Amino acid sequence: MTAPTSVAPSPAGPAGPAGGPGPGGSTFQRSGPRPATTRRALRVLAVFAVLIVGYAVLAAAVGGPSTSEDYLDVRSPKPGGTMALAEILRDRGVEVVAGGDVASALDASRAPDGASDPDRTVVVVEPGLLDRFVLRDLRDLAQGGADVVLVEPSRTVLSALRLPIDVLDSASTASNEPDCALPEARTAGSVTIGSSYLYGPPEDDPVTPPIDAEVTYCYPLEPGSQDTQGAAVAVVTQPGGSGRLVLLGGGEFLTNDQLDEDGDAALAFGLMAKHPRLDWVIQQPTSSEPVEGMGAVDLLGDGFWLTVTQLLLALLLLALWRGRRLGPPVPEPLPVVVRAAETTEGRGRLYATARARDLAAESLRAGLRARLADRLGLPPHGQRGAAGTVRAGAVAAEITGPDPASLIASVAERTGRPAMEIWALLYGSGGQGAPMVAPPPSPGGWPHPGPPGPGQPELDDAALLWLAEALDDLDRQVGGR
Amino acid sequence: MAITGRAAALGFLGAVAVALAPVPGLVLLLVNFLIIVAVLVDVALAGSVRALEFSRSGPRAARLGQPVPLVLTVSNDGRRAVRARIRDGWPPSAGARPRVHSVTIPAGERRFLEETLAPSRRGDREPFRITVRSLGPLGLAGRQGRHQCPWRVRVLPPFHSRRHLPAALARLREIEGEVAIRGGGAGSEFDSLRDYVIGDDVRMIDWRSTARRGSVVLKTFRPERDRRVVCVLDTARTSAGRVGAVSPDAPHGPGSSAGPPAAVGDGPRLDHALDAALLLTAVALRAGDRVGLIAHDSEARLVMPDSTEANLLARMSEAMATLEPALVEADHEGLVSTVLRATRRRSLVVIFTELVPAVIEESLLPALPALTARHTVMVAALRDPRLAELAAGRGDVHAVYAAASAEQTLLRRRQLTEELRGRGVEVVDAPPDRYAPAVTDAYLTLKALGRL
Repeated sequence: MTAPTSVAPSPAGPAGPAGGPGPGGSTFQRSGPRPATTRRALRVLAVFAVLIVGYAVLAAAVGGPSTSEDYLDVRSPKPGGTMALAEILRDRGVEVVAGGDVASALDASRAPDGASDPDRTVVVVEPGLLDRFVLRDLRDLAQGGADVVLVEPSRTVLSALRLPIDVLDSASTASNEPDCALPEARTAGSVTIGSSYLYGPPEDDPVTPPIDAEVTYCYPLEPGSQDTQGAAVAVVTQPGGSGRLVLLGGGEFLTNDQLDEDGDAALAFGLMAKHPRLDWVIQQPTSSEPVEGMGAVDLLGDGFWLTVTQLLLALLLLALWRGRRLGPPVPEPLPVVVRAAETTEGRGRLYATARARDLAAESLRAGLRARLADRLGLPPHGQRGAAGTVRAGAVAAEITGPDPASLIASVAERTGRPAMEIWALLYGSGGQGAPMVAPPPSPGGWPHPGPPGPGQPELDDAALLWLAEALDDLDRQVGGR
Repeated sequence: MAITGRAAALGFLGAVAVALAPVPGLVLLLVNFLIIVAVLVDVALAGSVRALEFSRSGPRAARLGQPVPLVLTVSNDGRRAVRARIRDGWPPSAGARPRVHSVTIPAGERRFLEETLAPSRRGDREPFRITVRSLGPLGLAGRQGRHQCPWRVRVLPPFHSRRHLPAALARLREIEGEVAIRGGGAGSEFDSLRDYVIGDDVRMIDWRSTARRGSVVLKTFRPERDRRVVCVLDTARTSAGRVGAVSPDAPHGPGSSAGPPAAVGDGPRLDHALDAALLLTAVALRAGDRVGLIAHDSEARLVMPDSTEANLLARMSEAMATLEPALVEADHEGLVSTVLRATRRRSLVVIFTELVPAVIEESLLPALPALTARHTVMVAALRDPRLAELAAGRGDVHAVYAAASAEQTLLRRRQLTEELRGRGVEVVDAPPDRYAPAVTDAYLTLKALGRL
């Protein structure tokens, strides 16, 4: 920054626009988007906010039980845990073992000869994370005599188990009355299950035929019409098997929070205290293929998504930084710029399109005639109409130019070429149908060129090119000024 | 309000922090809270843009091709120093450099920002607005505002034909007889008496003075002075046609793009006409004649009555600077009446126009007699070298058709030239590089012949 020694007073004078600031002056104006733009942006933001809030409310209302980490955990004393149930069961002499993987729980219970201990109850939370083979093992376990309780199995789990049961509805609140013949349910009586899947017989035939099994539906949506409305609890007994497969549409009644309501505890107790040992498995994601498809997306933790969120915010900052200009582009009225020769070039293209060869040939000839006359010192104009006309279509133009006879004589004298040839070159044989050029007088043995023949061949492109070259030759032979 | 790249960089750093943090949710909130707070603090602490005052100084006019050094003075009347990025918005054709000034102005002080314009077209250039972004101490964000500080730089026609001036003046001196050459000065206006020396033309002896003085005395003559020349510029549509580049794909090296168009290069016909008119004016003023200027298309754009002031050339340049071709048909009748109204005494009327048959035949020829009756008329037309290039085109059929078309155009020009000459009009038809000297030569010839 260098400071000039003298600074002229501010520019305010005749050159400044009228109404400009006085001397010393610049006026300040607030920069930024216009009010209308701001209002529109605010409206858009408001719409987005409403959408987000609405979605959040809807998700909270419709969404199932919160899937916090403690949900249905037998070691958790929180409202979502099931520690209370586990303690009650222990008091009654049931050994409660918590696990994270069904397969390892099954392995641990297996006797050295490979046969599973049938005298047990297995509760599986998140059965959707199991692959189909473990699910079959569970079914076989139930067949062998154990009780298997699946908490909130979805339609894919049911079809993987090939049970004749379908999920008719989800997240509905079933009735409090058992309305079934299951002894445990009759004992428990009224139960608050909360929102749950509703099970019922499949309405359409599944792709894979289900296994033969007897299903008892309890806690239907409306007592008395359990077949069509679905029930919150389904108990499957397989023929020849002594154990049961219990499907709990909702697991909330097992939690510490709700265990003390109505007959919740009684139902849970009835279902789980039959055997002296209880495996309580909250299935964790495994590397095998779960029946409920889990992509890489599900394996990524919260940290990843939060990082992506922060990256998006950073991108937003980047966009704000780059999007704010340091002043708008400056408008500039531009002058019209047209190449002066464009009309001439365009006319040349029109000639080419229309194949106006006669017109083109005559133009070339006339141009050369005028140049030659200029160079040879002949008057630029002969008598009017002396040189004939050129015709292109219906348009006929009179050729004006130097007197043909004197021009041809001069050119012949200069070049030593026969006058007849020069005549043919400079005046051609005339356009077809056009009045012939008046035969020039014959001073000094000047031959009379007649038309070459009655049926003149039409000029073609090759002939036009040849003519152009020939005229160039003649031009050179006549020489400079 | 505007944020900088630093804020965006902070956002990305925050992403790294979130990725590495044990409690990413908390870090996410914390990072963004910190960024927002820092940005708000920065904006709050940034110096006020409103408190700045701008003023300009520098030349108000320059010939095209000359750089224009301007100074933008910014003073800070606020309470805080302003760390500013200042963009002085000039139109692109003003070629202002630097585009953005970065400057810190302490409170109560002022700074001088130097900028240089390199205009690429003639005409008036005005700054659009000054945009100021005042950054806060953290450099994360700042306030943005704008100021208006009007100025106008008039970019004058380049007067490339100045280089022909010495030759034209030399010829003028020959004509005036100031240079010792055989034959002496030409002209018809009585200049002075001097003694006879052997070799002088005996017809020039002034016998009356000889008888009085006793020695042989000779009359000398000089060209007439105080004649009038009126330059008439046709600014109608035909003057917009660009003439000069010999070939449309002529090489434009990287060097040629740096500055304004080369000396006598590309340009609309009007620019060539301005150039020629300026040379003619310079020579005519030196020859002691009065020069006027008229620009006309469908109506009179510019009328400068003839004068002989010393600064006429500068005034004329200034007036010419803002002339632009108008896309209207020339009204030559109106042009003639404007000329007749502007100059009562006999003048040389130089019409800078284009020999377009339709325009000239329909408009100029009927109006011409009124003009030729009172004035000497010269028509100065610019010949497009592209036409000759097209006319020489051979090789394929399309080139020959184009050549035929060009021949026709040239022939029509030739006929028109003869037509005009037949009506006693001087016609100059020259390519761009010889246009200005050809017009001046024609003027000098007329002057030497005493036809002014």
